[in-house]
Amino acid sequence: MRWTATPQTAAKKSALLDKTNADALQQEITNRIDQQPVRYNLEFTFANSNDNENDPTTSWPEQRLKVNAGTIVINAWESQNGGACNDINFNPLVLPEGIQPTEDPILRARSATYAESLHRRAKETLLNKHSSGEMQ
Amino acid sequence: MNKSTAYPSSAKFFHWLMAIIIICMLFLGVSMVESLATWQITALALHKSLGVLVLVLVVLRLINRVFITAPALPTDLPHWQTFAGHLTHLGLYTAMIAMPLSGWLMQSADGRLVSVFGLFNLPKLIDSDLALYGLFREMHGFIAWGFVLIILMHVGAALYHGLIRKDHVLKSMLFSGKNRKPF
Repeated sequence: MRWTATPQTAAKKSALLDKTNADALQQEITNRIDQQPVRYNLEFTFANSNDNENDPTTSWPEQRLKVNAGTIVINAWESQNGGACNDINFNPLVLPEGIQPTEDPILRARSATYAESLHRRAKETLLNKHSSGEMQ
Repeated sequence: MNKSTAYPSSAKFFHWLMAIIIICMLFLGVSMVESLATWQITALALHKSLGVLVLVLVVLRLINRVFITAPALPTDLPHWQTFAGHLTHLGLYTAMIAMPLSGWLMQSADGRLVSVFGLFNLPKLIDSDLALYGLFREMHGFIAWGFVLIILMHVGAALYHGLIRKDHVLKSMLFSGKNRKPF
């Protein structure tokens, strides 16, 4: 099974983004969320027995069974620094019961990479907490 | 006076079993945190299980240590070398306890249970806290490098005794027929 989240309204063309701003993409999405909720269609695609589940670089034929699994609605945003996302390890192998990962090696590589980014974020959080504690 | 020149078999058993596991664990630990390979997940699970085994073994070893008599160091050894030897042993025991404990604490702070060979889970020691995860994660790494340093000193000293001074110190921990003693 693969899934996609497709935006219901397209983002601005990249040509219209402010290329001098390092946070241009982030600013574009937050501006849109401020105007109205941003919606995505969540769609599941089911593999046939002869489809390769483990190689994310091969696409499956168009006629595979697709199911609309719901709509993702983003109503609000907050800064990443100090936000709720800070403490989360976005490890794609931490899955709820009933969902099993495939043998896809990219999942393993991402798991290791996210572990390292959590490690660095934890170190930053520790050091910031320590230095802000000293200033008080 | 203690006249034995060798450690009892129980001490040798703990020493060599733990030496093998710990050296494997240090290499495994250093290589798995740098790796994006598919075996990384399996390595992590193995690392955690073996870490629990080390913690159990070091507790048993310390209990055993109370009951055995360690052979005395040569009396002609310079005072600073005797002192350095005791300090190294203290450092080794401290690291053997601090490594698995900091590992267990960092897993708890990250909100994860430590699974022991898939048989059962260890309870969480503390609540999830990113800053504490950072603290114990850093400690785990620093202690590991300190551990490597102390092991190198320990091996260096053992070889110095065995190859240069040619005294009983290295032999006291080796399995040789002559020094074999009952429990």
